[in-house]
Amino acid sequence: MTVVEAWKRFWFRPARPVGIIICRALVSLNALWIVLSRPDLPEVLRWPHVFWTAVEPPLRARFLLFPMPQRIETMLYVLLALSLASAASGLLPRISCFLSALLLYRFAPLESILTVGSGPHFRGLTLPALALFLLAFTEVPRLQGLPSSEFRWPLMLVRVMVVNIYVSSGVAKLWNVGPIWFTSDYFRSLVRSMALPEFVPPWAPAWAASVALGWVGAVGGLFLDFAVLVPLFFPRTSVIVVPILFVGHLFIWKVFGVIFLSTPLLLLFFPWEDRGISIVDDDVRSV
Amino acid sequence: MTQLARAAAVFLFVGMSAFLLFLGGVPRRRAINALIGYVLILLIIMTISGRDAWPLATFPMMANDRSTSGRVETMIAVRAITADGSEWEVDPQAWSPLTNQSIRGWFENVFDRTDPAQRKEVGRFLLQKAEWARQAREAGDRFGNERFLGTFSAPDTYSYQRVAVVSRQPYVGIRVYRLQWVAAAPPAAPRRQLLLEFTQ
Repeated sequence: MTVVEAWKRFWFRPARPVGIIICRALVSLNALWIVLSRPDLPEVLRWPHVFWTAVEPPLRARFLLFPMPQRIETMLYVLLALSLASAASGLLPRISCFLSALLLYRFAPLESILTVGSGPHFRGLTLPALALFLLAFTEVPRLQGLPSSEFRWPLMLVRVMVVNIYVSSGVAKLWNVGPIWFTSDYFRSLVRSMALPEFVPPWAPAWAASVALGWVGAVGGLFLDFAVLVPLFFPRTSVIVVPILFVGHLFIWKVFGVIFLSTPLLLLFFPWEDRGISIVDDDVRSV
Repeated sequence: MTQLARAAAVFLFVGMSAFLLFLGGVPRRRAINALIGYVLILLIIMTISGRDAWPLATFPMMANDRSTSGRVETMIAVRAITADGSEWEVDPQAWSPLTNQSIRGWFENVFDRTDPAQRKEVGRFLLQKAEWARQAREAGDRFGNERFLGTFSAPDTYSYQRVAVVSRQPYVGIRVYRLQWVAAAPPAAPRRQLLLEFTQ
């Protein structure tokens, strides 16, 4: 198989529309859960000016944070929740996806803008904002529609974006710390450094004390960062890899106290779009 | 990369996606390939350079070097004061819609740039939030980020413990400390450095 053929097969072999429908519902519901869990997020705009000291005007402009009456901000936030619900249910999909993405782009940074001067990377709204921008402009799927390449490439691009979360984390570990990250000693020092006087994650003391558990954590960390590539290229492995990744996140929560709010998006790696399509028949169709 | 260049990178992605609406056949396939290529190249550049254009982003989670033995860790802790002078932990929901982590980050990154008048304003605001949370807890209300979904609310990225007991007396002041301790699990008792004290 040539590179061009492999590229076409990866991105453009026909897929059933159900994959896109599930993708749209998953990212929308994931975002809606977070939005409903931050009901007063627009209030940050009314926090005293001193809290905004480090926020330069270009940063505000970047996230479209132009001054508006607070009532309008609140209405826009309600509109965000409604548009996410609409996108999840497939109602007016183009408009609801675009509105959701645009409003997520504007409101999500409020979670961290006062402190980090960039986006809210780990707070769960990154992937939904990107995916919904994309899905606003791709072909609208109908449940009983015929398989098409138009239902493959957007889904694969969203999956690649999810993969990027994990792999870029692994690359950053190798880049900033080096291969030593994936050793028992380093892993245990990381566990110790993330135990706070006010909150020690329940499994942290055991992990910090045990060389064997340190190795389990180090190897598990390596697996967690890079294993997600496997179901991307070999979809049938998702039934094994995805549950293991879910368990990995459970360990991260118990050992480090870190909760990854985008974990449900791992369900995107199940090959919903291939059910009922023969591998023999998946020649590349032109659009 | 300037802030506006970062925004441009995102809106180029949106524009390239929107452009697909007007294309069919071979030009559409070419435009899709260009869009995919743009995203892949951008993600690779961002991963290598460590810079990004949220939501086109990299995720350097737990990628800081923590290998030093006996490393001193720090964190910010906020305490409310009652009229009898006793200190109380503040319910993390007090900082809703933000979180413990956001308040800590603000003190670590921004507080040093503020003048005494601004610090007073910060103290007054935090006290108001802490007292509001105390009253809500005392009344048994669901409040803050848990107002709609209760225990099913999305948690903060970093776990914390809810405060078990809140004062029955109103809070009249606030203290903000920087805690320092040698990394261990569980950590030893931290050293406290007072950063801010505000009383009504």
